[in-house]
Amino acid sequence: MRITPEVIAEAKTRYTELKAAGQEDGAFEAKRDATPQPPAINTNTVVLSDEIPGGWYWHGIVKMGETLSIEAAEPSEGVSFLCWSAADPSERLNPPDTIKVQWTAAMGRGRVLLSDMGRAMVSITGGPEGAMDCIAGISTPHANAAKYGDKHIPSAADHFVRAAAKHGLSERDVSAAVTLFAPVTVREAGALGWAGDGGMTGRFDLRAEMDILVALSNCPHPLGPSETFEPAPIGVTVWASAPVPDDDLCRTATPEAERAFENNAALRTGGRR
Amino acid sequence: MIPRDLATAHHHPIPASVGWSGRVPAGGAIRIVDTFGLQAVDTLFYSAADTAERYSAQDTVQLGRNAYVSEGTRLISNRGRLMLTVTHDTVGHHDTSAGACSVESNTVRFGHHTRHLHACRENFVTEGAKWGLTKRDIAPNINFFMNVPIEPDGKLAIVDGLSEPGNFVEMVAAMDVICLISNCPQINNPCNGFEPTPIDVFVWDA
Repeated sequence: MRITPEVIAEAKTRYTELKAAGQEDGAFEAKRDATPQPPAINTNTVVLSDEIPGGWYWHGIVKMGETLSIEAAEPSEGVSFLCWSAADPSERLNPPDTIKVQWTAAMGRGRVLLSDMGRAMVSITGGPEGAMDCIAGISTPHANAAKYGDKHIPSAADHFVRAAAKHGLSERDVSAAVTLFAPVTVREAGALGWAGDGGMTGRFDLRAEMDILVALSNCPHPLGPSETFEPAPIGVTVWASAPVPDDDLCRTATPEAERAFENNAALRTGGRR
Repeated sequence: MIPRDLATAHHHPIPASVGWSGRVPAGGAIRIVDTFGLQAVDTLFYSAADTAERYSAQDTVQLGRNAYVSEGTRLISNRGRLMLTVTHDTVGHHDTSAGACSVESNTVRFGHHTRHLHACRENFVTEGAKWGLTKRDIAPNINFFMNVPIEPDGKLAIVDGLSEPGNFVEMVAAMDVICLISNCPQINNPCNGFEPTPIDVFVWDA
């Protein structure tokens, strides 16, 4: 493609329009808030129910159409999450694309988690607002050494390598993750902060939009305020989601989400569009 | 610190929109020059001794307690080790949270009509293959000269760049590293001023 002044002018105009639509004040929030938070889980739909002790991890397959609920009954300062496509694990969660495509680092209900292949892996159908960190990483041996003075305290980084190994994957497959119940904020001049002074309770509902392999680590985010390592247990439930309506919030909230789901649909028909 | 003498460096001119890769030995340095200004340079680092150890954007942000890369930033690996330190930066700050463009994400961001445009991840997998790296090794990168402010409410967008012709960043290596660069070909947003341009890379062995 030859880049002429006309091509540049057209691209500028289009980008300005996309950005204005993607960042229109209150537009996404109005759609989200018009959709009620999900109700209690219907026990008849439950496929699996489990608990992750503090300082331990969980891994498993969540099939397309199932929802993975992660519930903190006691305050949590972070549960880290990673996922891969079960069919082709070279396709995996991509936090940079997730925030860049949706014009915001404030991930939460109504948004989607994107893969590196331009597809929606997960719809965030429930959960607290402003509590999913996508930029500041996870607990690691070196972060634990700095924070607690002990690099042998359990870390999400070690958990993810172990979870990956149990599905034939390796450290190379453990890329950038997101952390739930982690209200990390970006303040003046890029300085990182933590909203509030403690942990959060609540329930995240993550609806699988393809068969995914999930790893969860119940270890606090390194920016969490607690100076001691005392994570409480976390509830994990996998359940059969209700049929997805045509006007589903996550699938229709933005033109970007709609295009990601068009890519999901194309994959199911052999990659043809 | 005084910038190194260019006369003693290996000079690698990189045309617009293409990839490059090379080694930087421990104690050596790499300078990336935005020769014409407003040109994003997507950059990744791997330990040459064991490429499973690689640049980690999230660990770098976490350790520095800052969302951006700037002079003094310590670039940290996924094993928590120092890979390089940014010793000079004549721009101010650089993104490391918004990732590299790809053919696939372009369709989501800009529309399906963009699916035949070249992209950074195409360059990364091509350059990476020369070192035995595959797509699963392509982790989130640094976007030198790309301006992506993150606002307190989370809003994030690629906006007009800050770099002027000749601005540069220079990093000294703390371990032997392989560097992958994609001189970003994106024409759908301001990261290259909508018109990709050549850059220059200089590498010092010590």
